[in-house]
Amino acid sequence: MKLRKWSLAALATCLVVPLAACSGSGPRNGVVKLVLRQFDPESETKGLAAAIDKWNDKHPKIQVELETLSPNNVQQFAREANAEDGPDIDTIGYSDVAFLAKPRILLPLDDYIKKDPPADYQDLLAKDTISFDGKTWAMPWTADTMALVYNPKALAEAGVDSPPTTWAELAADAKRISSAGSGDTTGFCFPASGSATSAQWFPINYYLWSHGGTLIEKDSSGNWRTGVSQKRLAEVIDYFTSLFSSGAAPKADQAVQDYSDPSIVNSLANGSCAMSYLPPSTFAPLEKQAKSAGTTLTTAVMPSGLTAGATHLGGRALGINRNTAHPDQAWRVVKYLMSAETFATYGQFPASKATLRQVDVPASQRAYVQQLPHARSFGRYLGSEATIASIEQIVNQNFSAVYSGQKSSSKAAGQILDGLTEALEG
Amino acid sequence: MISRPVSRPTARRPYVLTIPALVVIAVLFLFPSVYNVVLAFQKLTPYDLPSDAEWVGWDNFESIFTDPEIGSAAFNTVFWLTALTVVVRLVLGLALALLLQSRVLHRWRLRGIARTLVLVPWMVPPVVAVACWKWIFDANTGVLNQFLVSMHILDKGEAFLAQTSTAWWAVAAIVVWRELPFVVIVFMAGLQSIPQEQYEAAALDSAGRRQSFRYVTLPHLRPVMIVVVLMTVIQTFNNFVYVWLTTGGGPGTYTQVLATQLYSSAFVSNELGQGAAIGIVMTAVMGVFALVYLRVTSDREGRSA
Amino acid sequence: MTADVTTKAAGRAAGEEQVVRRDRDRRRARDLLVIVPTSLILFVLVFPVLWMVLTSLRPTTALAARTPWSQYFDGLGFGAYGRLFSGSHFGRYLLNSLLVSAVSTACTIVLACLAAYGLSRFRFRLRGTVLAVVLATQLLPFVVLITPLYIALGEVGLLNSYVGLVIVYVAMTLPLAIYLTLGYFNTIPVVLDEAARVDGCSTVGIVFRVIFPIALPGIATVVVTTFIATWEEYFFASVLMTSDDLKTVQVGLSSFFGEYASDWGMIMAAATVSTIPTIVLFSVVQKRLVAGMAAGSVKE
Repeated sequence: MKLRKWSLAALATCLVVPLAACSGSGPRNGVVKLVLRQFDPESETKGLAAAIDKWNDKHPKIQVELETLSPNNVQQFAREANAEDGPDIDTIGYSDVAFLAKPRILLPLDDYIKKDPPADYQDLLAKDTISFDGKTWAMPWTADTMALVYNPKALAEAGVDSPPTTWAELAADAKRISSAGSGDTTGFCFPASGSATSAQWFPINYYLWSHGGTLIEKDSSGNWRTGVSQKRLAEVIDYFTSLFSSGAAPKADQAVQDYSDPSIVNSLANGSCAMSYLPPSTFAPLEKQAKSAGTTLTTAVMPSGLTAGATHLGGRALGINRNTAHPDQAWRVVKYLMSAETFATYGQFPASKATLRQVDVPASQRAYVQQLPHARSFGRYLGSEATIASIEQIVNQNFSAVYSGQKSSSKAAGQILDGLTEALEG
Repeated sequence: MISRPVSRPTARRPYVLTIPALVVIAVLFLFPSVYNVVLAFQKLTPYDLPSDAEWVGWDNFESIFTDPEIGSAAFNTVFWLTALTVVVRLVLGLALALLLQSRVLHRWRLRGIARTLVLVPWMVPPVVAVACWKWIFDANTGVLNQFLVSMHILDKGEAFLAQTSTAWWAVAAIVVWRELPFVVIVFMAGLQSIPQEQYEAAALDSAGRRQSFRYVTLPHLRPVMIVVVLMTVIQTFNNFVYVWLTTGGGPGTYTQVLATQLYSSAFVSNELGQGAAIGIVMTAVMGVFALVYLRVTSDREGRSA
Repeated sequence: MTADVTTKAAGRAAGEEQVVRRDRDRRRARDLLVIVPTSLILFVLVFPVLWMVLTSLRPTTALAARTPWSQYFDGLGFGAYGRLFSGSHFGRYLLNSLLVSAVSTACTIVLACLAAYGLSRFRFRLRGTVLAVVLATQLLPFVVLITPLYIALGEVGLLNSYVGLVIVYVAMTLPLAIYLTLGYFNTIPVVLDEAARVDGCSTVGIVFRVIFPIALPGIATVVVTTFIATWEEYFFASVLMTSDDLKTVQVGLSSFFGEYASDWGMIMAAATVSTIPTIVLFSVVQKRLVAGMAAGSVKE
């Protein structure tokens, strides 16, 4: 009996040793194999998979394999690349490119751009995030931002004719919707938990940017400093706190950290929440879900969304692993992925103004297209000693502490600024 | 490894028996933990090669002890996360193990089903457990709030995880729920290994139920209980999943614990060295605890026949 | 006289019957004292899981808002499960997890029994050291091990392989397994192994032929503990296994909680499916456990 256990274990070991992955991808009978890694859930990548199938049919000598590693884990890619392994092409959030450029994990692309430029290289968005130390480390690929998602019927019922265009209007409208009617519709819902990844980070920054402040900035001599006074920052905190105290937003949202959290998405879909904000990839399936529940949802630009730099430009870049055996072929694949051909089936917005004009956009998502050219990436926070993630953490934690009554807004503002100053010193 | 019966001098036998296990353990722990000590004196990001690290002396430790938040994180870890949940688990676990052992359930043919049910929370991976509970705790659609409101205990749904008055209780409830079965099952196995005749002997001495519990059950459970307490304390103290996934340390930093601080230093602020330093402090605290604990409890550790 | 006796006897009989009935009623009442609290606690323990299963069966549209009590069971169906299995490699992940957990558990149990026997029966010079080492491993927060471990496994080419993960899992679960097994072995009288030795058993023979069967209820606990620990492990699995063919259930699950997950039904379906194997397995172990226990108590 015990012997059998031993032999089973031994047998299993013998069986799996040959299965241990070997990552050598030398060309076998002239076919180059490339691995492209992306981090969206598999259910949302059918369009991308279709584009890759098309490529593989056309290029029998260069076969691309799509690898999904979700959720996004850029540190994992760094680990693999440092162990001289990893996918040939990696999808990277814009804010993460610098992390990979600094230790030279990616291949610098400048020579390729010179030799064989992508179709509309001059016209790309988010270029500020992909350069580091005077070199280009990745190519902007997709673009997204947050648009105001709203339920026209809920607004109309409370006597609000058009979606708000300023932050003050948003607060007033939301309060009006919450107190109108039978009180089972909330005006505005948004994830407001204090965790490092809480998505209240977006509106906090939008509000600050549209009022002329910024969390950190470079001064004229190139040194980093905080970009907002304690008083102004306290006003920002007061604004978001007032959304809860006036009833415009439900207190329950203080436990939510994700804009795609079921409690937010579902309350939009069934009409119990009138307004929120979402990126396009979350909005598209939600719109369908809402339709089947008998609700109409559409988007408008965020408050001050057409002001330059008042909203953020997010999305993904494509980087090539420095360990790849086939950099030239990888570059060709990157170019293909950036082309209109890929975006014909891939449901994201391209990070190129020219391609953006070529892509069909449903009416309910026009707001994104209007807003994208005015959006500016979080590149504005890149290059200091502080990581964006740690800035996010300081800010979210302190806002959350004020909502839950642990601190006054001016104290929290002071602590955010102290924390930022300390982080900037490294 | 040891295939044929070979008679060896007794002196070597214990080493032969324990070495295989030690070798495997060393693979995972020896190199990494030594390296971890090195790391605590370096500045390194998760993106760099270890060879690119900078030596910074005691800086990492200094920045831990000058951090104003560290006191409350330490208190939260010791009291809310560890002490509270371990005590509740022990009391409930022992009570439930005794209930499940009782003849009554056996008579009603309920023992098997009850024993299976008790394991259920444990089969749910923590990540999923947290999702389930968040779904139950939800202020708008959560079934718990719905129940409390329809019983008129509350007027309107509360966000249990977002307010300071309830956040820790909610987290503790999740930890206890998910980790209780382990305690129960270990106690049950302990109870089963108590020879029946001891109880019979106690009954002959006309010992009541309470006395036989005190003089037979508890002494027999002692070795198992020592292990359970030590293990649950250490594992809970180092646990980061529950707090991280339920509250993320919020509202504000109200539920921050040492393990979440370690994680955010190492992987959010990209200071692997600082994370390593927090890890070493945590290890030291637990090490001292374990030594004191074992000193106190080991007077009868060993063979109890 | 006689009549008197008979009436007395009859009276006594009736009285006895009354006593019996009263005893039975009293016992019934006492039984309830055990059954009611047990049921209550068990209900609280099981409820979230039932809720999870129910959620996975409810239509997506119903999960959004407050549902009146009467409508919770409207329109149940397996839609979420369809989405789960058609849209992902979940089945593959399940097999991977089963393989890794089963092999790790088997290795851990064998090694733990040998080591625990050595620690339980012998007083040797390094015993304290061995115990301290075993314990010390538990003091480390695992999060800090990951970077060096990754580099080390990369050096020997065990990244993205079952073997690497199994080794890690065995090492991870061994300390606790040794400790628990030691606790159970310590309660077994030494007389037994001496008897076996007289019969000519080798040490390994004693461990697996004599001690192991007696400690089986305890060992079953260790099996359960180890299996669950490896089954639910996420951190190492996510770092060491990135190839899609080798991912474990937990890593697969985490992608459902990914950046754009709002399909509550599918999340719960995945969660439900990932707990089914453990539930099935333990129902089996459970029977063994009870049977072994009954036999064991007779023997003792």
